[in-house]
Amino acid sequence: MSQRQSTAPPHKLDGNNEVTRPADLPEFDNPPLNEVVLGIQFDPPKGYQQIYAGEVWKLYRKDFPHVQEQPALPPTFETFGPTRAASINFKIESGASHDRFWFISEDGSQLIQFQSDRILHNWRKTTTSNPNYPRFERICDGFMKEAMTLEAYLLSLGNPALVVRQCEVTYINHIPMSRSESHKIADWLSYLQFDREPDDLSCAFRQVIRSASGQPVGRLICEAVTAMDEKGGPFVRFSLTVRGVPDAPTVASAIEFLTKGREIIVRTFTDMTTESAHQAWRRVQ
Amino acid sequence: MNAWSRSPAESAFSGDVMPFHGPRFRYQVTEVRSSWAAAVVERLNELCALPRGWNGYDGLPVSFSVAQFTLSTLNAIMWDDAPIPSIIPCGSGDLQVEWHLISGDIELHVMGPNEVSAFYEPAGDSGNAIEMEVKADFTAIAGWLRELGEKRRAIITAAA
Repeated sequence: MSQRQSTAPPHKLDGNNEVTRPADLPEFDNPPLNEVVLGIQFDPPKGYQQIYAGEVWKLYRKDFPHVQEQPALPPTFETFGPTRAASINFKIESGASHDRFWFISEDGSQLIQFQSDRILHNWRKTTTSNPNYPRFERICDGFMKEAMTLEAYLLSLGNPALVVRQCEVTYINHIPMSRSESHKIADWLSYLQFDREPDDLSCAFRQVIRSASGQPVGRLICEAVTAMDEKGGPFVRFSLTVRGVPDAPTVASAIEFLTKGREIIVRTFTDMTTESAHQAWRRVQ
Repeated sequence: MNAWSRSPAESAFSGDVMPFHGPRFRYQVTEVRSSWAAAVVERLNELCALPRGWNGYDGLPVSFSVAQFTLSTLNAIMWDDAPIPSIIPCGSGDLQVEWHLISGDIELHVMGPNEVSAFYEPAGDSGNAIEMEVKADFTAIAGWLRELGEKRRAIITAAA
């Protein structure tokens, strides 16, 4: 697939620092959205150690009463140059490492992920308690408050403000498929056309995102893969991620990047899916 | 090794789904094949594992995020048989990446992710030395490296 460049008009926070939806952004009443992730990656605060993680949980415990420990995510950076090779990661072989903590809401639909250099917020669709997508603006406003709460706590330990290095927004869609020949992947994803329907699929690409001045600032990463749910129902997991460097290393600038990233994701999703799919998902604009 | 620094690592719920028909190739996976990559990864691992005070003062090991950013940077500018740089710890968790070739010098001071000071000087031409700050776009540095690589090859060929 050819390399395209994505751009989006500059985003504005309103006077109350609340995220507002661009008027012309495509919108669906019933999108196949299963999960949304917003996250920032920052310099590990020097005065912070893992023993403080319980204090961090207390900041959110009222709304996120459950906790789980997970292995830490490695730092990830988007850099740009002429080489388009896949990125390389390595693992530190010695030294102390901080776990990742999941702070989970009572109904299981929302989650804060925290480790010494990251905070993320996940929303996922659950069939019982929270079937409706609460919309990006609400999730993002909540995430901004969570990041600022963390920053205030770290300031109270004598650290400077968070130095945000990368931001990331991901939309994960589950597009149900049937095993019948009449239900083709191309009926949903307009960029995938096959003469003979494949048994399974794993397809991904990346595109550079540029600022208004033409500088590369991030990447769109798009991935489609066939999968099965716990009941054996086949579906295509269609995920779109925008990750990159905020204009300034602050929480406010990170929120602007995430909001711009959401816009790129929604427009790309609309471009890469079919008209008939839009009807099924009840596109309203 | 994970080929793409993919987002679904951050997806807390992806464990609820299984690959269709059971294949285990949901994400592209590549090995480190470039001659430079294995050497650089080994060196970065050494530097991250330095003990505190390694320099006889209060020197810190290279931070994991600086090491990961450096690897990502080199991956964006190096080609398979590109000259392998020296990587030197600086004491505050930062590091220097240096190429000292017969054709000239390049130095990158990686102070933190997206915080790099770059210096370039062709051999015997200090009047054309360049210094610049870089955040994430290393296209210019890649151009310097390619230029020095080509000049070096020409010098070696002429001398042979």
